[in-house]
Parts: sequence; C-alpha cells; structure tokens
Amino acid sequence: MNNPEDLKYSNDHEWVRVDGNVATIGITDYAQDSLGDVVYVELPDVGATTSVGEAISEVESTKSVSDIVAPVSGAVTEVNSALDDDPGALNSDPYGDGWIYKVEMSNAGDLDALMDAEAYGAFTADA
Amino acid sequence: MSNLKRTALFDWHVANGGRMVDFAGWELPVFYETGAIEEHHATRNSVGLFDIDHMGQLDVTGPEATALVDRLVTSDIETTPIGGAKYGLLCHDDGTVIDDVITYRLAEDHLMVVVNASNRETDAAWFAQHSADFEATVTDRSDELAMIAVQGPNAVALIDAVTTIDVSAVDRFGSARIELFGTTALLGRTGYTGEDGVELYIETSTTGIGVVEAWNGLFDRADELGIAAHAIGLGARDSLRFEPGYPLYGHELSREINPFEARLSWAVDLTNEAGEDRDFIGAIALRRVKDVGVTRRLETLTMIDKGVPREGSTVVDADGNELGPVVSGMFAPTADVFACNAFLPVGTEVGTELAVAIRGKHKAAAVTKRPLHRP
Repeated sequence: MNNPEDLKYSNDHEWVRVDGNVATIGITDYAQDSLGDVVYVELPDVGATTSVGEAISEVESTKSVSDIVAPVSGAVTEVNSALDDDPGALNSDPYGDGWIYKVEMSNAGDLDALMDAEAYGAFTADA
Repeated sequence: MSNLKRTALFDWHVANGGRMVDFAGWELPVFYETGAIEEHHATRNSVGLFDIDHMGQLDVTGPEATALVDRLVTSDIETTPIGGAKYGLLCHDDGTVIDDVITYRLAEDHLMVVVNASNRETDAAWFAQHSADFEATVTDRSDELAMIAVQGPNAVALIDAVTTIDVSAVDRFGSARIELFGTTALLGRTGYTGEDGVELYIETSTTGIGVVEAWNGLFDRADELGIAAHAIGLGARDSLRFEPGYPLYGHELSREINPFEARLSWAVDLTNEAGEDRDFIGAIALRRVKDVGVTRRLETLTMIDKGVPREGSTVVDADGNELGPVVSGMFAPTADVFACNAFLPVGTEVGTELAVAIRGKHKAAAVTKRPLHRP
C-alpha cells in the first residue's frame, strides 16, 4: 500500500497533512482498498468543532458505512464538496482529490499520538 | 474465518483479489479488485460469472415427489411441465415465509428444489418432516452439486459456445442436461439479475473438481470470443437483484412477512388450473390474508437528499411518525440512484415524499415506481 512519507496516520486509517496550524484529513489507501467503491461521503459542517476520537463524518461504500474519527481537535474550516459528485475520488486518489476536510488545530500536541508512514505501514501489515 | 465453509473456487477468488466475507456461513467474495460497481455494469453490459455454490439443492424423488413439493410450495407444482422450473415460497401455517425457492421438475418422480444457503438446514428439516406423509424421499445434494450463474446479454452466446445444445432454444425457466468441459450439469434458464442467462448445477461427485475447470473454461472461451466476462461478488449480486425488484430472504422475505405484503401474489397459486383450492401449507392463512387484505406493502423509495439508506433505517413522514422499516437499501448503479425497499402502509402512493431516518438524520425520499430497472 502507498503511504506518503510526509503524512501522519491514525489507527482509524485516516491521514493528516499538516500545513502550519491547518490539518487536511482523508482516508488512507489501505482504508479505501478495504472499503471498496465509495458511493457517498457525509461531510462535516464547516465551523463544527471536533475533538480527537469523535465521529465527524461518514464514508459509505458498496459494502458498509464507516465513521471518520477525528484524528486531531479543532474547528472545521473547509470541506471537499467536490466529493458530493465524485465520491469515487476517495478510491482513485485518496491522498489528493479524495481529501475530506480541513481543520484549524486547537492542540498541535494531538499530532504526537499519530503514526508516521513507516509505523502505519507496519500497523496495517499486522491488521 | 476458520469455521466458514469454502467453495471449490475459494483459491481462485483469493488469487483474483476477492475480498472474502462471511455470508450465511460461507467465505465468499464481496467484490474483486475493480469493485462492485464495475462488476454490476459488466453484468448488465456483457456477462458476469457468479460462484453461488453456497445455494442448496434438495432432491425429491419417488412416486409422490410432485405431491410432496406441491404440498410445501406456494406455486402450482403439479402443472409445471417436465423440464420446467417455477419460483415459489415455502410458507408456514401462518402464511409467513420460510424461504423462497426454485423448483425444477426434472421428471414425473424427480424434482430439485433450490434453496437459500441461510435456510438450507431449516428447509431440509421442513421437507423431511413432511415427507413422512408421502411416498417420496428427500436428499440434500448441496455438497455434491456446485452452482455457477452466468448472467448478462452475452451469457447465452457464451454458454452456446461451450455446449452442444442450443441454449436459445431453452425456454425461460426451462432446463436441459448438458456436457460442460468434461463434466455433466443441469442448465436452467434462470437467474437473479433480471438479465438473460443461465444457472448451472454441476455434478462434482462423479467427476472430481469439475467446477474449477468449468469456471476457467468459461473465462477462456469468453476471451477467445472477445466477450468481456467478469467474476461477480456478493455486493454486485445484491445490487443486480435489487434493481429488478427481486426479494432477498432475510430482507424482503422472512417469518414476519407474508407473500402479499412482499408483492409476490403471482407466486402464490391459491387455486389450481381447474379452479379448485390448492392445499399447500399456509394456504388457509393466505386465503384469509387475500380476503381481508394487507395493511402494509413493499415499496421502493429513491433518495432526494444524498445518503445511503440501509437495512435498519426507518421511513418517516413529515411529522416524524415512523411508517415502516427499511429492509434493503443501497446505491443502484444502473438506475444511478440511492434507493431502498421498505414496508409502508397500504395506500402510500408512488410520488409521495417521505423521509428516511438514517442514523438520526431525516433525509428526503420519494416512493417510486417499481422496479427501478427492467433489463
């Protein structure tokens, strides 16, 4: 599986791209591969505040519905509304066009609990 | 998943990227590498191959074989022509549904009843229990017969190319004995996708592992003919049956549901061709249901708001009153809608705008004309 080096990973199979105080969040290649065809993403509301571990969004595939569990706390600043028309971007480009939401982080320390690419690769190999 | 049963094609599924899941005690692919939606379209556009060996087959033989099956099945089996097949239901005394089955009348004294994997033991026991009153023997042949479905607009051309018979001459719901890659099989012009096609019952007891050769042989022959053939997992099998409005036991049918509620009155022959009352188990209760009428009926709703209705969701009206449970729901790829089946009060008309409560959120949906897609 493809796990870019510059991202952080949660054990709920989300990735986090950090740019200053803003984190972009999506699901990993491993996650999209397990889910199968994504048919709908229930996006969070812009302005919503989220805490680590909270279910903030849902991804529906042909197989099942999965919660997106917030990997970092903060306020949602932007959501990827293009996913309304093209939820399959989560499958075809999970780390690019398939991003789900951006959050203004309230606690940069949340990042310390996340895995790097190598650790996540080992985590999914054991899964 | 070590307690699960595997079909002879298990290794093929894994080698071809099948995501194996537990389905009725069997380890089967939910989809393969390219995903369920592509598999769905492949079946509608060309041909799909389905490993459905989990399905069960009960052989009923003896001088009163037909009479026994006719006693247990809602459709008139006595008038099914030899070589023909009929869809029907096994009902309990109260008229609720034990299973939905296809009965092949292979000879005067030999019938084969095809049952769902989840109900195989229940059905076998039900037949055994009632066979005592008849000069008939029931044999569970599920382990000796492998089952493959070949479905789609190119299915008949593909099967024609691998058999000596003319498949197009076999009527819908007809059957024929065929030779298939050195093994013998029963071919039924039946299916669960709404498409033309066949279901193959392959003898494995006498010929070894004929099913793997047949499966690979079908793909090889399709390649030679330039026919695009795809293996189809459980996910696309579900969406392919959902669009044309076919029921799935445990969803549209159960011990809580009668056939009239499920819109299956066409599969319930309360009288025979002479107009006399038939005496199948459940007939008395179902006559009463027919006379009194049902209070709820299966409806299909399409989503207006975005969202995926699934079993466990509830249909509600504008005031939030619960109208009935969603029993199946999904993205329907050919109809290109999110849709669900639900049991709603009789009188709920097509076009009525309601909502589906999906994990607490009310999302607008409209009752729609069934079926969503008719190939």
